[in-house]
Amino acid sequence: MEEVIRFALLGLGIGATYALASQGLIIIYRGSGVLNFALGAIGMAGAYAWWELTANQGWAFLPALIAGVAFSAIIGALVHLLIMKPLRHSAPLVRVIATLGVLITLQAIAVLRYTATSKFVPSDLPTDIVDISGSIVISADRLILLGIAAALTLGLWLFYRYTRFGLATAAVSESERSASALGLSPDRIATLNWALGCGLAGLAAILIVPIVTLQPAVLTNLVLAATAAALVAGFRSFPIALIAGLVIGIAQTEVTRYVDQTGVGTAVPFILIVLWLVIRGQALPLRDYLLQRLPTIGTGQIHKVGLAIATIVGVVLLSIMSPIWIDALTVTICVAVILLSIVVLTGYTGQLSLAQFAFAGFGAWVGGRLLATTDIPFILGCLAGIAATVPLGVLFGLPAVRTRGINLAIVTLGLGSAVELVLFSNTDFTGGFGGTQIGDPSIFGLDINAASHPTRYGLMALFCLVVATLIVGNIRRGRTGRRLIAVRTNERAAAALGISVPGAKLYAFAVAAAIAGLGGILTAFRTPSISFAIFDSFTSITMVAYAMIGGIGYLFGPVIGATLAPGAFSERLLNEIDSGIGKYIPLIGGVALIVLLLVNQNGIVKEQIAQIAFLRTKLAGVLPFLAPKEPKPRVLPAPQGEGQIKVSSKTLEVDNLTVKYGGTVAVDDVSLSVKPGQVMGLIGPNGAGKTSLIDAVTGFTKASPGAVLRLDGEDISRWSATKRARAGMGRSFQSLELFEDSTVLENLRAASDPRDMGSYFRDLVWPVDVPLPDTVLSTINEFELEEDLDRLVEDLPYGRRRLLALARAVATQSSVLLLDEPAAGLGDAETAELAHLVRRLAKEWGIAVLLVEHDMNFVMTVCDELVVLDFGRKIAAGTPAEVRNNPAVVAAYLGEEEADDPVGAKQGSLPASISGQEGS
Amino acid sequence: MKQQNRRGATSSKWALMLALLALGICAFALTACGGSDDTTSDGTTAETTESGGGGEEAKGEPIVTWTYTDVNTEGPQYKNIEETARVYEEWINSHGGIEGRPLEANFCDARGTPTGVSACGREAVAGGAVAVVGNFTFTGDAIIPILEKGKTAQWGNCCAIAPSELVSPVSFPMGNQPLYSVGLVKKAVEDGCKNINGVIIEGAEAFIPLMENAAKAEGTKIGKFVTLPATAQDYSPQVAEATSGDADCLVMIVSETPYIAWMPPFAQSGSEARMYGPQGNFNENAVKGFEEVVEGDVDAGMYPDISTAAWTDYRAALDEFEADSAQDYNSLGGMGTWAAYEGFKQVVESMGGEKLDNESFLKAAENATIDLPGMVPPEDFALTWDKDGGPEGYDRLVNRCVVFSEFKEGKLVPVSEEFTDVSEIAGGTKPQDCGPPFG
Repeated sequence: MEEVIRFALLGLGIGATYALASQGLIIIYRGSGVLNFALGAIGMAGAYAWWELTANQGWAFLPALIAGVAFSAIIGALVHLLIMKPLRHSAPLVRVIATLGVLITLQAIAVLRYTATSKFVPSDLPTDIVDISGSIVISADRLILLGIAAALTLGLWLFYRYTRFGLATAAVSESERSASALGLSPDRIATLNWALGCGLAGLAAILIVPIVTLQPAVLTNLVLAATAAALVAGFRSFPIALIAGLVIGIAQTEVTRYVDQTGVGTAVPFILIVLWLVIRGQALPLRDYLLQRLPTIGTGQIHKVGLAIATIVGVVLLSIMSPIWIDALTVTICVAVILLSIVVLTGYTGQLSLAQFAFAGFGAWVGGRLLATTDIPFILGCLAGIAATVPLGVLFGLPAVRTRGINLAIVTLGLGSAVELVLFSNTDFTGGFGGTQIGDPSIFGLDINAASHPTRYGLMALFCLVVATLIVGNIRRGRTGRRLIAVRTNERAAAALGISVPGAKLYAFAVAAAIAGLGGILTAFRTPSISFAIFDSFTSITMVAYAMIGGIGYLFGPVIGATLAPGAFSERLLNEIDSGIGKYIPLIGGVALIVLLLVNQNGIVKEQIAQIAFLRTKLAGVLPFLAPKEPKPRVLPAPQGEGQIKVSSKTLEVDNLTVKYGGTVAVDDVSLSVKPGQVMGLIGPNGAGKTSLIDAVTGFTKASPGAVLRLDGEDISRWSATKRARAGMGRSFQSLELFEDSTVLENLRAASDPRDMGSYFRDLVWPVDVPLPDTVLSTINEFELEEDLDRLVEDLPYGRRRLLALARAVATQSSVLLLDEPAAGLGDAETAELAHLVRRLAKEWGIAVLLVEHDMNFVMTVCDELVVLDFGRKIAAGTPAEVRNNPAVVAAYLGEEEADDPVGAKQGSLPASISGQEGS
Repeated sequence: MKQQNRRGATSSKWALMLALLALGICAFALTACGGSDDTTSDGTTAETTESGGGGEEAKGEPIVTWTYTDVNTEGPQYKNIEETARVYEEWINSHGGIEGRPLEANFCDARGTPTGVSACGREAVAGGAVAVVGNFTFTGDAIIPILEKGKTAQWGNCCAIAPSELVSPVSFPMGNQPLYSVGLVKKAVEDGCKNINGVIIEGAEAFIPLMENAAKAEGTKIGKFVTLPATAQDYSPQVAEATSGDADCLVMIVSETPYIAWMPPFAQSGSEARMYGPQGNFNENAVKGFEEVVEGDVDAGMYPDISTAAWTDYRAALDEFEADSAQDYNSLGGMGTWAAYEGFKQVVESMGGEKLDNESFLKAAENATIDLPGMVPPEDFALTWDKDGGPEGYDRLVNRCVVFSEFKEGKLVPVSEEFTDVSEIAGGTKPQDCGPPFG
């Protein structure tokens, strides 16, 4: 036991450093919503400034400390003002990658100025040993560090809880818009928080460099581990971060002491990250989940002639260039394959994974170990490696079911780091001293050793890239692509269409892992003796950066992005221009990354597409064949069974439904039933619980125990939202929740596509679109959407988007349709169209419609029956005529006093709207 | 109004770009102020070189070599190798060259990546290198196949760390890597250590079997191995674990950076355990500030201390040709590269004027004998360890002799004037002739 306590105390030193670093992360996240990977590097800059002043300029400790902290704070403020502020409306992914650019830049400057070598820095704190009991000792500087961490935690807690600035920061972190309305300046608050967070990082760095030494990369790595503590604290609570940091430090120390396995101790924070997020995560985002704008995506259309030309150019270059250029081109191709996996996972599916290089390494590891230890043919070894990454991808994807956004990024980074530390860094698993030797790879007897036959190897890699590109293009164009993009854009809407959100995510992870595995194999097998050390977790982050620069949603983006990788085309080119430029490449890369993100967050390819189109237009006069082709007019078939469309008739029964949010009862013991062909209106004042009822019925909110939901007699109470949708329960959303960066047709297809599993596999090679069902064709006709089919949703006017939202709900061919304020914001003509369609849906197609709407004219015109809610309770039900004169309903809308006062109950206002007579 | 907004947006964009540009200039200015000049020795294309230092004039077509290592990287950097190659080129050319011909010692920065080292191999082969000489990277596996294909020797490197460097017929290591770890165990046992623990940096676990075998052959065993995380951090827990169990000696395979982080907690622990570490890593820089703590601690390596007679020319050349004073030349990288070039010179001289190119050099190297007293033991490349009954995987080792230094007042001084053979305890083979004492 004494041993356990002894090591626990020793872990306090590491824990205190994690705690200090995590406080800085929290401050910046609270102030600006950015996960700052550059925090360690900014702290490092402050530490070097302090060191220069004390070691070279003879300054005393304290003034130098103040100067070092101020230096870090100034860098932090500048990073915000020059980089983060212009990017404030960008996707979180973009901002995270921008911090990566800052990290690379600062680290490159430090290496150039101070070299990467460690510097021993004597401690200015006392280092005497404090004897606690028997063999339990701890050095005084660790105790002081712990005290500083605790004092800072208390100070920060008080500061953010009780000062005006702290409260303003909290307000901004809740809602920037609301905070602005209160006269607060989110920018100023963010700048100050950046300065404060980075200043704190500088302080932490100066205090801990005597322990961890002064070296450019050391403090950067510290931040990755500190992220775990910040995460446990929800990027919010300073005391929890302190405790979490200390617990992680202690756990790491104890595991290192008692688990005799390389890397396990170091992996503790990362494993903790995963467990924490999986436990705390949510299967579907809540209604208030911010839908962040993501980088744009391409159509997945492959220009066959262009691809053929590009392939031929590649073949020619690989055949005629010198081996050194072939190597550079081959590296570019191999990295491009890995980046393609990011296109699938992050570009198309919106899952920010920072583990792609871990997948790549795992594929190489499985394939390499098989080839090194068995007589398996080379191709089979490669295929086995690719296949083995699929279950790993699914495993890594499991947390994605319950987490998203930056949290998912941290989870995947944690998992990737764990694989790196426990598997790739452990010689027990990588072939011992002899390593992993795969010999001379050959295909059908043809030697493709990259050293002796660089052209052959390059051609094989090119072939793999082309195949992988075709597969990814197929995925994008097929119904699989629509599912993935639906999930990327709006998980709630995707689930409402019957798309399995977990299924789509896991599929994307699996496919992306396989592609990354292929890329890893191509990368690693360039040498007969495989080094797994190259597959480090930090490179996974830079891979996402390359993908972003190229164009994370475009098929050609990876090729552009890959040219920036170490050893790839750009580096070779720079070396050819001037061999002395080599040492500046990391600095150039960091600055270029920041500038490119500021200028164009959708990638170089998107810009190129626009430029090529512009050039073609300009050159068309001279070279007519270059003129852009006019899109063919889209001709839709007439609905086959117009007038005879029928959906499967089902009755929705809701018994004793109660919905609670904490202590608040949103829906209180409501029962209702909607029959096929019936339009039931659900009305009530704002906050009556109407949307909560729809959310609960469709599976987006948990109902309290005791509620029974039946669809055609079958109990669906425990079904997921997706399963309910597939059983025939469709819905629309108050806030539309359309797939904004898809076309109108893609939105409708995403709703009407069959939900078969087979397409996930068939689309890899042959994406096939089924004809649009009659319900969809009829709806397109009804709403006159035909001319808009190829327009992006984000380009549509509001009224058209509303109609599209309803059309998409109808396109699911549901038996029961729950419509949440479908007429809000529509003009009279559009409302009339809508009313007509809703009646048709019920009367002609046999759909049971439950309708929430504030437009009482619309409600009274369309509905057969009404249910009125107030404060979650059902206060009335009946035909519109019965409800119209119900005193309880009038009171609910007017309040008791006004209802009793005939003067107060003005005919022209609410009573009129209830009665549906306004304007009629 | 709209236009105004656009103009405003444009001007703010320009302002942003200008600010970034200014920041970039500041960054370059910052970096330009620090560090030393990045002098590389590539591009010595002159066909003749003026003699200096009293030697004859080097004439004719230069003898082209390539030296590669990692310099511009965020990992370990070996600028001392680059500097030594440059200094050797200038020194030998000022002393009549090799066989009267000038040496053109090109340098290639592998930047710490396998891709970088492959590119160096391609450059060397394409550049007509007679051999690559005195190199070191952690990713040698990425270059050996290229050199094999190009029939070019990798000559004389100190530290064959990649598996292929230990078995490839084009690899001719002059150092004894990884056998110094065996020497450390042997020395610890000879010094009377009773409770030996091992400390291994993450990723170097492959040394463990060699050390365990050595301990067994010496009739003892290593109590436990503690693994140090590769990234420097608070090593207090590892220090506590390594020094537990009354350990009186620690045999450590740890590189320089983690050593620097290891020393403060080790000193704080108050442990009396004597440390045994590898040359070039457990060095004067690593123990700066802890001179008293390491008094009497032992360093095992391949090359006798730079202060010994064999390195007189090296010391003079470093001085004369103004080698970067920030580098450590009393190291595997520095002395290893000098010894490699001296060995290279001997092979070329042994060819007796035969046409010199990569293939002829490779052939000559296969049967070369190197005699550099005081630098390395006599080395006979016709008798590699695999031909002498050595264990599988270490075929190319011809140097199995270890040399010891110890810390005296923070300085490393030779323990003895002899190399110590470890063939028997490392591989169960008969001892190698380590040559006469040096001094």
